[in-house]
Amino acid sequence: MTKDIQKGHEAAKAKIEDLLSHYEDGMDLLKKPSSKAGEWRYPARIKEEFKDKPGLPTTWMGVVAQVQEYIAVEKYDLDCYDNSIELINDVQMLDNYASVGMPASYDHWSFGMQNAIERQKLEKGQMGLAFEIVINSDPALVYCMDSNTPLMQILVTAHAGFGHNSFFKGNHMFKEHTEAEHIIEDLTIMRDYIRDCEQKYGIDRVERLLDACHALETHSVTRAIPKDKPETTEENTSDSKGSAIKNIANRTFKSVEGSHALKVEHEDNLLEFLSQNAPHLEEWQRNIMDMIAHKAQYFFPQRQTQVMNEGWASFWHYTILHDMQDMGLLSDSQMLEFYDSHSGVIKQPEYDETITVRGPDGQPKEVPIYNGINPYALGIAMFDDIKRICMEPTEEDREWFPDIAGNGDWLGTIKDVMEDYRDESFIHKYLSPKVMRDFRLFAIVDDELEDTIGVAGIHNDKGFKTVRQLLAAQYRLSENSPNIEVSEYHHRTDRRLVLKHQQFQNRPLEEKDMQDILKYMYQVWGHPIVLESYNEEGKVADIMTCPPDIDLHEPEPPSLLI
Amino acid sequence: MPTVVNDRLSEPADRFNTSRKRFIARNNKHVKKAVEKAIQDGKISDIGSGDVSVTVPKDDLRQPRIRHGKGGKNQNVLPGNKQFNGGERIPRPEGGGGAGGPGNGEASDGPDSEDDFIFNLTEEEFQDILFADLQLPNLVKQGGEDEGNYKYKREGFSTEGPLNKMDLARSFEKRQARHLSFKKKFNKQKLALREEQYNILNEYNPDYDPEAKSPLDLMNRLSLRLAFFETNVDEMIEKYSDQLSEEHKQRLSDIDEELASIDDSVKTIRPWTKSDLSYKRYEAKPVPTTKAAMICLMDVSGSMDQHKKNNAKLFYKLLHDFLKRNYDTVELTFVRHTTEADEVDEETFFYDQKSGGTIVSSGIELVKNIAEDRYAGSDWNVYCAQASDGDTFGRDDVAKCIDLIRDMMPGMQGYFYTEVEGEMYHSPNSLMGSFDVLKQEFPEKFFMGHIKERPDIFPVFRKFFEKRETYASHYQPGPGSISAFTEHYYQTPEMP
Repeated sequence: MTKDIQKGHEAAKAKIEDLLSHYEDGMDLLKKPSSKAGEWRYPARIKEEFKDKPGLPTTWMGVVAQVQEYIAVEKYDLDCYDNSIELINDVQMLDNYASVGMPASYDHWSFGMQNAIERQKLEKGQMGLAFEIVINSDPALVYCMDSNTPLMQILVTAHAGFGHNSFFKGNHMFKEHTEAEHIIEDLTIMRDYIRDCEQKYGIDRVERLLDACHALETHSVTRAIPKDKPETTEENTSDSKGSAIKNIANRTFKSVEGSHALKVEHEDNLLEFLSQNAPHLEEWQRNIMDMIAHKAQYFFPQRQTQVMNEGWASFWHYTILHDMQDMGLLSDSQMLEFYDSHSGVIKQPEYDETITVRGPDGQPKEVPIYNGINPYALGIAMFDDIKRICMEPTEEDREWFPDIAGNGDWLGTIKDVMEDYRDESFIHKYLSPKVMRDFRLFAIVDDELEDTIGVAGIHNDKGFKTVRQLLAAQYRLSENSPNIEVSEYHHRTDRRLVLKHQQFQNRPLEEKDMQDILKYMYQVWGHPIVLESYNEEGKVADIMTCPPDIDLHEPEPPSLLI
Repeated sequence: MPTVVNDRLSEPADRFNTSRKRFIARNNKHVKKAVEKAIQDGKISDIGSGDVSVTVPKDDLRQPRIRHGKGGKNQNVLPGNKQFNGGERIPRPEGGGGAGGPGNGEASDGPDSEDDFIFNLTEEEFQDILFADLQLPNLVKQGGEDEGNYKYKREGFSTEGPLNKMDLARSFEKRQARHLSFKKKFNKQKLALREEQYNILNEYNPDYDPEAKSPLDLMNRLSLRLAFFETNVDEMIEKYSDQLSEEHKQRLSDIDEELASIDDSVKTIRPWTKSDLSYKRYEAKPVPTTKAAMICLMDVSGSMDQHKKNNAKLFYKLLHDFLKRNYDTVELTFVRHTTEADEVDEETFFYDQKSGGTIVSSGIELVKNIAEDRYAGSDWNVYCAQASDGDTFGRDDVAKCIDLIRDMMPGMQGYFYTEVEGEMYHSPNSLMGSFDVLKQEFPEKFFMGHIKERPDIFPVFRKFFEKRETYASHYQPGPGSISAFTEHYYQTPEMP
């Protein structure tokens, strides 16, 4: 296997040398800017005799991407979407923030607010901007800041254009939940449709609906995609989703024995359920709700693969930049800049770490900098470690990872891992004792019934399994996002909708927010909403309703219906 | 697979302009409060400096999400252990922190601090609010087809045009009409031929009596007559084919051939011709515009001290911004006077220092001349805004001022007199008292205001230009005016 990589290396190197021989600056083209122009706008001057040769990149950025593509594809056989590199400035980057990078967005006051907040933070110097944003689309959109130094541009194209890009294309979560080739078009259609509705039905009606949709967005994802997801073909892509929803709608209702209600089974996609079943909605309202649910579905994998995705991308920018150095494409000063930037990105502050800053009064002040586990740091450490386990395993590794330790095929192994896992399962399976030791991880348990916090485990033989299990659980969806399902529809009486919240470790819901959510749901559903919270023992722990004062004993249905 | 590199730097970053407008509209009450406060603080001169800051309470920014509250059992895995051992128990840190997983800090969409959100209005947004409900009074004159002001209007049909403007119903009708007229022509020819055949054959018909009544007498319609001949001819040919003379036989078959050739030509009628197609035609028609001319007249004499001049200039600045912002077709003329008046450009009007004695009538006379020379009898709506400290040289001049204004009032849509008061001394016999007669005479056109301190400026301004229900208005507020939204749309959800 290593032989193949070596062969690939030679092939990539040959292609790169051939490519660069067409330019005035030759092998120095990528080095030049840092010493000469210092700008990514540095011209890629093609030699006079090759002026008419097709296929040669005409910009410096284009050459960078082409060089990296040779390495990523020829040497490592990464499967990527095509890249479209978009150079933008800071204000445009801010625009991208408010729309999660999406190039098309409908109008909503919350985006305006988001934008204003971020703009202000930027002006006050409280926030730095990302060097890049990449969109899971086909071709992948890689937004690069114009203020990046040439080295940073090289770094971000490697990170986003080949790291994230290949992750989007390969990871099973993205394959199952998103359609990269349609997303831009979908969002454009959505924007135009919503604008159309604003014209027809009034801005305020659309806005109220969007407010409700946004409130439910986190619970508008179908988590389990049926295994036998039909292959999307040209014809049925547009309505395959619709028919799948119909299937769900058809099978979810069953009468509850001894009651007048219909039982709804395993419906955790609240928005979709409402759009399919709310009795009084107009067609356009259902359409917008479906669109928002569709959008939420698109972002679903991102939330669950952050560690893997950032780790994978960092692993590859590190690897690709080293190859470039090996081939003599980068200067020493560029490498210094790279290490500086790279170590900043993958720094993991300790839980109690602080830095000293001077306040406005001139007095030094200790400010905590710990902000959770850095996904870049954990991710790259784990992928790096898997490579090590494959190539140079220790006794411990052989014991913990008998299936991959010393298999000699690190590339194949990390690719398989990248494709088949998400953060929770990735950590559960591949977090090694070595990484736990390096990070000096420890797990605490904070139970409100106890006076003190317990240390469940630390980075030693006794604690490895516990720490690993608890860290994995931290990335589990139900841990972060309350588990709420539609439970019953009382279609014969007051048409109330009963939601069931299964508490996780007896954690309650944020009550004020939940009351507002129920209000929104009530507006959409048009009839009472009841939310029952069950604790771990299966007993009702709490009931919230909207309107707040409804009679929990539902009325008898009219006699004819019994 | 080549990588595309797109330079987007020249593209505008305004994707969220509409969203921002809605955010501001949603917080209208906070924004209005901030603008009112800016007005009271006399900050009007700072328009555009961007320091009108709006405070939005954090509760109004909240976007609810389904999430966990505090309580229950929480685990957390943290890096950087130094002193802890497995199984150990440690005291809970103050404030209950410590237990926050990577997701527990679920980023709220609002500002992440506990603070209210404070943001600055842009100049444009500030003026939107400031001028939202203001307009020129009596703006009723219309006319003048201004160049460059066109609207596309439906103007009949044409046979050429873009596909999306094709009128399908009309095109089909025209096609149908053409087909029918062709068919009628051919049917007439066929009828004549068939009749000849019919007559020939009837010569062999023993029952035929030309004098007798025939069903033909009842048949007016061409197609019916044709059908009648055709059936009869077919029947008779079968009946009498043996008896026919050679000559008749020949003639009948000649006619058949002719008929066939007519049928062939029917087939050559083209299903569609270009002349069938009918397109809706649009023509650019000049639209009558409403035009407003504002003559600004300022007293710059010696009695106008710096304080007065500043306030007067601020008033004009406001007027200038208001007109430029809310109206497309507006002409501003600047006149200043001491003992004599001269017309100046905007720059000179606002920034040049000049001083001297005071004869107010000189200024009003120049205004009158300008109004009469340039706008008399035209479709311009003419206004004058005068600012003075109310001092003029002698009672005679006061009378002259009143006469001059009275004279020109019929040709004017509005006259705004602003008296600026000095810090130290204000003449008890100022123009304002004398001008009261004008107000009595022209209650709908003559307006007066009194500015002592800076905070008085905007209220006076607002009183001049507040919307008066009774007067027609032909102008819409400029684009982007948020007055299109009303406050009650933006309350938090209420239970129906």
